[in-house]
Amino acid sequence: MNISRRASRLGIFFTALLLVTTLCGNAAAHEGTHGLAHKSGAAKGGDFTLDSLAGPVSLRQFRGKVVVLYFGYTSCPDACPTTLAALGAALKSMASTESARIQPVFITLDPARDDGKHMEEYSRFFYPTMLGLRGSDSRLAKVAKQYGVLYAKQKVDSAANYVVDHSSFLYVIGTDGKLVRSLPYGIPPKDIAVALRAALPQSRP
Amino acid sequence: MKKLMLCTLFVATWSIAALADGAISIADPQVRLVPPGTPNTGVFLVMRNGGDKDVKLIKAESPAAKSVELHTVIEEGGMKKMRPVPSIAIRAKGEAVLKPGDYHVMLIGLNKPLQEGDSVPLTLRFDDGSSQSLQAPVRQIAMPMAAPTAMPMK
Repeated sequence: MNISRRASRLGIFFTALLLVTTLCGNAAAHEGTHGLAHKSGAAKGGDFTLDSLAGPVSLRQFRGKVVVLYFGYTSCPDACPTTLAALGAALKSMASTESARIQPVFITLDPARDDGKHMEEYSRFFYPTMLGLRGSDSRLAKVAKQYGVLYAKQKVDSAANYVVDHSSFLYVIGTDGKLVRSLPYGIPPKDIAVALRAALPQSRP
Repeated sequence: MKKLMLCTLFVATWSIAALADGAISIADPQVRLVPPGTPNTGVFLVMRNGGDKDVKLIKAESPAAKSVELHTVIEEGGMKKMRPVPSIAIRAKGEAVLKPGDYHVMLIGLNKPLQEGDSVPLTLRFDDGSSQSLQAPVRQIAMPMAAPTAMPMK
């Protein structure tokens, strides 16, 4: 009787221990999440400098152009190629006089695996003038925070080793360098084109 | 009446044909064309279950990649999260659609870069012991499946 009660207490103790361990494990897993406090609505945007294969690139360089920004990674299985293909299709659907005034930029959230050469190849595949940028973890974290991008490296039981969980928005930046709006995942190319066109200043006759 | 009979005959013939093929049929397979040097890609298709029992896709195999896995994408905490899954269920008399942003077959570690127009051999194994072998063409996939409306900032 006494022994069985002790055994059941021990059981409860270990269940509680397991629960605590699991919770801590989850908390630890989430520690890798950057900018979690930054909801996408709180994104302020702003200038940044990151590296292309050809050298440093600053957002400031593109004043007078509309910039459309996406954060992802090249071994991203789904959200990234889907969104970048939609962006490429949108740009190709626009008049060349319009698309020439739009600079698409892809920033990797996985600089450990995405080198400059691969970023360039990957970005150009979706649109010839798309820039692929990368930076150190700390520089990247800063830019991601500015734009309210959430991301977390996550170990998974897969041959892919780890994936990067991330929010998936296109950020439209006006010709003055200010963040105009963000477009959600799944937006069709024609709606991307409408949003980009709306950000272009009206050309005067 | 004659129409009804013809219709019945047609349905009966179709059912027998479906039975002869096994419960599962595959439609519209496609492999996403990815940029050169990209190690992984997704395969999308529709699996239809003509049978009376639920069937699960439990394994996919292809000589095109070092590993082939079943994956899904979940949306959690404002993030897209890709996760491996042990199986994908196809309900009796129902279908499972493998599409971008949802369940898909992942080819991880492509043995050689894929070109548009290539065909990737794929074998799907189900928990009823059946399997399906098919060729999935490599295509550009530009359109996301879901199309929510754009939301302005703030």
